[in-house]
Amino acid sequence: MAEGDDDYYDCYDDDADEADFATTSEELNLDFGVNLKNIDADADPEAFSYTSLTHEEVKQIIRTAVEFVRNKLNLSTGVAKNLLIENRWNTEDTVQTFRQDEASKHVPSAFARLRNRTVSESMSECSVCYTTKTRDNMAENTCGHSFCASCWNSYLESQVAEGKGFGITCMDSKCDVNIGEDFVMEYLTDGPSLQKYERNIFRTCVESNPSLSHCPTNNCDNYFFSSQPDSKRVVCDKCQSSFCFVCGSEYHLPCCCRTIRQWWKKVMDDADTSSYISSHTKDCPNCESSIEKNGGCNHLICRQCKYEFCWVCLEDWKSHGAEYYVCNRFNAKKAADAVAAAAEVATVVIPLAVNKPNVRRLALNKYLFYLERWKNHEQSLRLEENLMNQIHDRVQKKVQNREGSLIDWQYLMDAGKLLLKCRRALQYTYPFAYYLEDGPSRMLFEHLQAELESTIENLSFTIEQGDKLDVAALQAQMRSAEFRRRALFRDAKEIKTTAAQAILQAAEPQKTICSFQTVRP
Amino acid sequence: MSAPNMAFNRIQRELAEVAKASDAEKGIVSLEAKDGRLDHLTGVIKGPPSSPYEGGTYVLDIKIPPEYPFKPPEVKFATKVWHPNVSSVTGAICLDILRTNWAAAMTLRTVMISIQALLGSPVADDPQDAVVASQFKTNRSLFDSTAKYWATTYADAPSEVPEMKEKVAQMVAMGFNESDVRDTLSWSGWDVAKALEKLAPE
Ligand SMILES: [Zn+2]
Ligand SMILES: [Zn+2]
Ligand SMILES: [Zn+2]
Ligand SMILES: [Zn+2]
Ligand SMILES: [Zn+2]
Ligand SMILES: [Zn+2]
Ligand SMILES: [Zn+2]
Repeated sequence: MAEGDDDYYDCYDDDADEADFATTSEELNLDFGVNLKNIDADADPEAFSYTSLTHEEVKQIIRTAVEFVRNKLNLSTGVAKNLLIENRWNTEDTVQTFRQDEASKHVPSAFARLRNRTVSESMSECSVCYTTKTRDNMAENTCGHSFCASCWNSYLESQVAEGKGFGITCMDSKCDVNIGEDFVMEYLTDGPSLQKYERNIFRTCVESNPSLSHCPTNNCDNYFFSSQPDSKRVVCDKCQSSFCFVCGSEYHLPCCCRTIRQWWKKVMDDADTSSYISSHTKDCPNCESSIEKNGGCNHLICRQCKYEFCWVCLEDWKSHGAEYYVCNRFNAKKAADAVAAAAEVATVVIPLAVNKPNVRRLALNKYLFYLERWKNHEQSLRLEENLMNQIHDRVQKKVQNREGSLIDWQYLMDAGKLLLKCRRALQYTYPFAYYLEDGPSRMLFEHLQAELESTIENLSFTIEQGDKLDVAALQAQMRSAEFRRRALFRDAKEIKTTAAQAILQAAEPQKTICSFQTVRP
Repeated sequence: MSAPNMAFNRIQRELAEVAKASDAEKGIVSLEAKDGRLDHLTGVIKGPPSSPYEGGTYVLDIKIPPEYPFKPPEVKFATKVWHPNVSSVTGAICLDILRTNWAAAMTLRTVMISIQALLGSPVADDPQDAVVASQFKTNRSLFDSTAKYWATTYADAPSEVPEMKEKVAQMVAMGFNESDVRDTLSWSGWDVAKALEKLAPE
C-alpha cells in the first residue's frame, strides 16, 4: 500500500470498484487518494469498517454472548439465547430487563415446580394426547408445563416444518413462553428437522444482531461484523457481491433502508405508468433527427446539426453549466402550469375539471421526473461500466505491446472508478430527493446534487474522449468530483440525523422520510 | 399413521367430554362426528344472550387436519351470519386461536366457547367481512337489525324485523331470487334502489 491510503485502508472502496470492472488488484493498485488527500481532511462519508467471518466464527460469537448471559442469570443456554434474540444481542439490556420483569416468565416458581413434580410422581395424563404416561415419558419446559415426550416431538416437528426456529411457544393454551434451544435439541428426534431447526435459529441469531450481517447470495455462507453497523456497502470477499450491511439489498446510500424499500415498491407498483421512459432513442430537439444513446454521458452532440443538448431534459447543454444547472430539480410551478394548460384544453370536453387543480396528475409528473433521472443514471452506469471494461482491455493490450507503461494509463482507470462510484451515488440521490420535504435543506441538497451531476457529466464526457485526453484537466475534474461526492453524502447524513431527531422529539413518528438507522424487516 | 391415530383418540375423548359436560348453558349444544368420520365434525352453538344473535342456533363446520392437535382445526359457520368477523359469503371466521394463537392443549370445546363469545363481542378492527365491519362502525342500529334479520331468517331466532322482511318480499315479487335479494339488500344497507342496480344493472 502506498502512503496516503489511510482513508481507504479498511473500507470497501478499492476492492469494490475493482470487482465492478473485473480487474485484479495487483495490476491496478490505484491510488487517487494521493491527489485527493489535500482537498478534504475529513473521512469519506461512505467509508465503512467491517470484517468478514466464517460460519464457525459467528457461532463462536453467539456462544460467547449466550455463555455470558447464562452465567450472569443462571439460566439454561436455550433461555439465555431466546432472551438475547429478544434484546437484539445487547447483553446489558438482556441482563437488566430480565431482572426487572422477565424472571417469573422463565423461571417457574418453586410452587409450580413442586406441583408438577408431585403430579408426575407416578403416572399422569398428557393433556395433549390424553394418554396416561409414566413420569419418565413426560417432559417439563422451563415454564413448568409438562407434556409427554412424543407430543413434544410431534409439536416441534410441525413447528419446524412451518419454518419456525426462534419463537416456538409452549403447548399450554395460556402460556406464551418460548421454548429454548436445549429443550428442542433434547426432544426433537427427527434428524433433518433438527438440522432445519438449527439453520432457522442460527439465521434468527444473525438477523436479530445489529452488528452481524450475512451475504445475501444463495449458498454463500459468509458473514460480516461491524462495531458501528450502518446502511453502508459491504463487498463479499467470497462471492464478490455488493450489498447494504443492514438490509442486504443493493447498496443504496444516501437513501436509508426504509426509503429505498418504499421507492422500490413504488417503482414495481407503477411499472405500467412509467414503462415508456426507458427508451434509448430520442429526437434531437434542434433538427429532430433520431439519436441513439450508446454512451453513459448525458451531454450529447447531434451528429446532424452538432447541437449540444442534455439527454435528460432535452435543453441546450449551455444551460447545464454548474452555476445554472437545474436539470435535477423538479419545478412544481412549471409542472402545475403545464397541467393547468392541459386541463384548459380538457375543459372543452369535461367542464367539471375547470376549478380543480389536477393534484393526482401533478403527483404523477413529479414521480416520473425523479424516476426518469433514476433510470437514466442506472442506464449510464451500465454503459460506463462497459466503457471501462473496454478501456481496461485496451490498456492491457497496449501494455503487452510495450506502448508505454501501465502507470501512464492508470489515470484513466482511476477516473473511471471514480466516475462509476459517483454515478451510482447520483442514481440513489433521486429517490432520496423524491421523499425530501420542501424547504431549505432540500434546496441545499439539490444544489449539491446539481454540482456533482454537472461535474460527473463533464468527467464522463472527458473519459469518452479516450486516449487523446488532457491529464491535468482530467485530474482537476476528478478532484472536483470527489470533493462534491463527499459534500453530498455529508449533507445527506445531516438531513437524516435531523429527521431522526425530529422523530424522537415529536412524540409519535410522522411521515418524515428517514429514520437514521433502519431495523431489518 | 401414528399422528392421525393419535388425533382420532383425542377427538373421541373430546366428543365424549362435550356430550357429558353441562355445556348447554354455556351455549354449546352439541359436537358430533359427520357420517362417523372423525376428521369432519359438526358443532352447534347458541347465539349469546342480549346480542342480535340471541335465540339463534348456529351450525359450525369443523375439519380436523392430520396434524391435529399440533395444528388448529379448520372451523367456519355453516349457518349464514351477519357479523364483522365472519364472512357473510363463505362463513369463514377471523379468530386468533384458529390461526397463530392456537395451542396444542386447547380443545374443540375451547374453540366453540370462543366463537360463541366472539358472536357476543365483535372485534371491528380485525374484520373478516369489510362491508359488515364498516356498517358495524358507522351505523350500529342498522347493523343490529340486519344481524337480527339474518338470525331470524337463517338461525331460527324468534325475533322479527318486519320492515326488512317487507323490503325483501317487495323485491321477490319483482321476480328476483329470495336469497340473492337478502344478501344484496344487506350489502347495500337496505337501500332498495341500490340493491336493484346491483341485481339488474341496466
Ligand atoms: Zn402426549
Ligand atoms: Zn408453558
Ligand atoms: Zn458472498
Ligand atoms: Zn439497506
Ligand atoms: Zn440535431
Ligand atoms: Zn438536463
Ligand atoms: Zn454527460
